[in-house]
Amino acid sequence: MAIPDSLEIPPDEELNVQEINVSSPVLRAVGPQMGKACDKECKEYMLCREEERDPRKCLKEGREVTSCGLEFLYKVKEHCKNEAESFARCLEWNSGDMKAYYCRKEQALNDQCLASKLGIERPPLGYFTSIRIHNSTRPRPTPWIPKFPATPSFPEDRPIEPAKHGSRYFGWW
Amino acid sequence: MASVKQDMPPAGGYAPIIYQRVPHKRVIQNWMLVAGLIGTTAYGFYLVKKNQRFVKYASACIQLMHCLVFHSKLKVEKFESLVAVEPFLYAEKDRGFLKELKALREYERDLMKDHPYWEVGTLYGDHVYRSLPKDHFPIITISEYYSHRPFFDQWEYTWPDHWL
Repeated sequence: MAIPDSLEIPPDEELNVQEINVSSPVLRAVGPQMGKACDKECKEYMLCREEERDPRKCLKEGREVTSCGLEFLYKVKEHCKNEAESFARCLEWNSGDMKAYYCRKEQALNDQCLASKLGIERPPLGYFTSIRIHNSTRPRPTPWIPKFPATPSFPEDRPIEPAKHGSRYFGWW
Repeated sequence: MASVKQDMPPAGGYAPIIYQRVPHKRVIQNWMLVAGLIGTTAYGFYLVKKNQRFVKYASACIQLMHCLVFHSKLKVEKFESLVAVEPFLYAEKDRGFLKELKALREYERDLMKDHPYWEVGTLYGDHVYRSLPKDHFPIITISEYYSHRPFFDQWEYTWPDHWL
């Protein structure tokens, strides 16, 4: 009941785009390189999302992120399909929460392939969890401040008399 | 008087009543218990030694501090693989959210079409948020988002691993 007709939602042409239809082991396997390859787009999108807090205003950035990821995954499929798939399978079947600890051999092969064929090195440990600085050309959104009607108040030059019975301060009470 | 036949014991008398204690035949002898104890202890000792050997030569960490650092690094690595793909997931999720809102609005229009004074998205023309500007994106609560769906869907969203 909170979605009135006055709320503008972008048309379907902006919302229906080709999505990334891969499973989570594959995303876990090639995720760091994917994030590195689309670093600029990802940072731009997440900054927009954090600043605007409105899913309608970051659709363009979101589409760029998705298309960049798709491009990367197409390249992976073309050049390093076997390595990435074996790493993803190893992640899926060797631990419940997809740790890479049991798959160092496959991970090394995958990293080597991605580095040699696509030219994308795996970022060092702590790259994504540390603070990443991004210079955006998008202007900072101005926060909306509500305007309230002027509240009634006493006039400035009202007579101020001393209190009749002095201070009412009585100890701690 | 009819002739009466007296009940008598069988020929040769009843068998003697057994009142002594008849112990069951012991399947497990005492020596077997002792042997089992010794055997299981020895096997457990063998397992402990094997694990110690494994820990010493094959594991990644031995000392406590070393292990803590090592496992926290593993956690960071796993967390990073999620953080790296977060923008891709969020981009898809935001688009899906907007599509769902559109569908909800159309569903409400269809649902209330026989109600002449109903305005979609409002309570008879009364907006939920009055003082906010028109283009402000409203706060969509979870129960509102799932209002035209089975309650199980909302339950699954609020408690994702309910089957665990």
